[in-house]
Amino acid sequence: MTRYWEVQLKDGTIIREGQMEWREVPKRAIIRLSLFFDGRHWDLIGKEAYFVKYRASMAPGIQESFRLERRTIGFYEGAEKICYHIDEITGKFSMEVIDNSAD
Amino acid sequence: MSVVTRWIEYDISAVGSATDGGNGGKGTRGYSIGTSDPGDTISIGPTTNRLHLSLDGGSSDYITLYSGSNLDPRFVARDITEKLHNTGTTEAWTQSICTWENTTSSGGGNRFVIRSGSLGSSSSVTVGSGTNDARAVLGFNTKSEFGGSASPDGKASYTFSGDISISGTYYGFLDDVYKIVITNDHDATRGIGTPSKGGSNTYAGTLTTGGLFNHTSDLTYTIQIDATNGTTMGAGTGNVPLMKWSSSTDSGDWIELLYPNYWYKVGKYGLMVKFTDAVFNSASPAWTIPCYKPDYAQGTNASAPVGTAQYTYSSERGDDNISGVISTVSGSYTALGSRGLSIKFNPTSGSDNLGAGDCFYVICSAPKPSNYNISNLNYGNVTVSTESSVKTVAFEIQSGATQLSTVKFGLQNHGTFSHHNAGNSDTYFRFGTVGPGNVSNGYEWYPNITAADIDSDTPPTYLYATDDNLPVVATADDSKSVGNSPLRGLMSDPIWLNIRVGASETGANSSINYRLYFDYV
Repeated sequence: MTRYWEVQLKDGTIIREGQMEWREVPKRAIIRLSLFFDGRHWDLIGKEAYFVKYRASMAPGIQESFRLERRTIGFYEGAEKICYHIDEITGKFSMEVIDNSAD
Repeated sequence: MSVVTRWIEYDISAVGSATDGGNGGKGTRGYSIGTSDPGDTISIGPTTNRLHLSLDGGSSDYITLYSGSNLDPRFVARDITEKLHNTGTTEAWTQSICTWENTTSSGGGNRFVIRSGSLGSSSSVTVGSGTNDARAVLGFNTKSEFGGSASPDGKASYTFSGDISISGTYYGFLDDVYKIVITNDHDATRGIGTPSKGGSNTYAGTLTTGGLFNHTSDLTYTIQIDATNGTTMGAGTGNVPLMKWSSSTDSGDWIELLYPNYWYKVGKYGLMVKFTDAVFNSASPAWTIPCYKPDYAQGTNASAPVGTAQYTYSSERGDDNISGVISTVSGSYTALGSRGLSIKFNPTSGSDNLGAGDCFYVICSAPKPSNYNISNLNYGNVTVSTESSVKTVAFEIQSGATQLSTVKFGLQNHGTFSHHNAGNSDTYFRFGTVGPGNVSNGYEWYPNITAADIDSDTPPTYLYATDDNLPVVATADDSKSVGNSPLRGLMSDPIWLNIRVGASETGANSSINYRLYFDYV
């Protein structure tokens, strides 16, 4: 597997996607979140909170048609979520800032 | 990443219902809380998929739950609700609701709560033992059960001897409960004042208040946040911020803020809060929120007759009155929520006054799905130059995620149709949507949508968006936006689809492919 997220915890532990569900990762212990994608990688270090997100698609009712479209790692800056998107098909990188300061 | 999804189909004629709880809207509902901690993912299998219940003291019956691993508890709660609706015929069953909520009784925590669909002293829910018992996986191996009361929620007794009637069609897509309180909102809208942020609170998102405060005294709630386990919501149990509330008369235990934009109860008298997705820090107080009892039914009168007395309302899903109190009208219906309902107050005599704090409930059940886990949409035989039947579907994540967003729907392939966007007696692929995520004029659902409703790019008032002819697209960006809501599961708004077969089309059994795009955490 050449496409995955990886976290490093304060105690030096390394956890990779597939070894643990993201929801189970102890978020407060993360000191680095990285996304590896076919030989490239992006590192997020020293942020107050991190997240992982996916975009997928599927044909109605056909679980086998499930397809990952995009991988995202990111971090929070207060009410803003800074997203690093990697398109699963093209490998193109993009950034997005989502502002959650208002309802 | 191991997200599991399903598709649900609705009969286009499906419609919800709203009732007065069989008791003229008066009293409270009986309920059962599973007080053991089931975690925030629920695994149900063949030996743990039945719940044995008795509602309102009637004969007990089994419901068989949806099986799966690590199911989202909001999904499970809605599954329980839908199974209850399909099991019994009395109002207790057909209007019953199971929710995943932060309970305010002793012990607290996020738990399953099953409420009867009836109001009053005969309302109750008893979860009993049975075979292939689901109690342990749902947290009902220990439980607290409380019968309904004939007294109003918030004060000792009703001033009003009469009752209420409900009129209209419930155009909600999900279950909901309206709370109506007699008040002129002398101090604050729905009795809820403006939150004040604590000095050490650095949260930069938005706290939104909801609900309707009804009690015999004013209270100020203090909310504490503990971010030791986690600073952001949606990060899974054990990794999210904790919230605790207290006032001079009631207090709660620490509960996990599992999801953003999800209503959490504060106190026992009707205040709710929700938060946008932002970073929390430990703070005490994080917020203080003043709440005010209903002082007057009208003017400075503690009671007033129908026609003079005023009221306000809120709903569990946040369909709250934000435009000022409403005056009752003798013998006539007046507004209740934005989903198509009206309310009328029926006095027993000319001297039967409504009193400040008199509280009524209206219980709304959602349109019932007709099929789960559908694997295809079959429009059947469609004659050229005619419209097919209209199909209605919704998408949901059952496990593997805590948040759903940016839902898009597109036509991936028009199959063997050869006159799509060809400019020669074309075939059209129609689309429409509305729902809790994209409400239109109060409508979350509308029964009996026809092809004529979605054969234009300009939607009718009861739909949020339509497209008379979806193009073939390959990306989410080029697809149509569909709303979604986290309040009863990770679910998309309903989507209406049909095709009009062009005059020159030939052949049969064409397979077309739609594709839905979605973001998830």
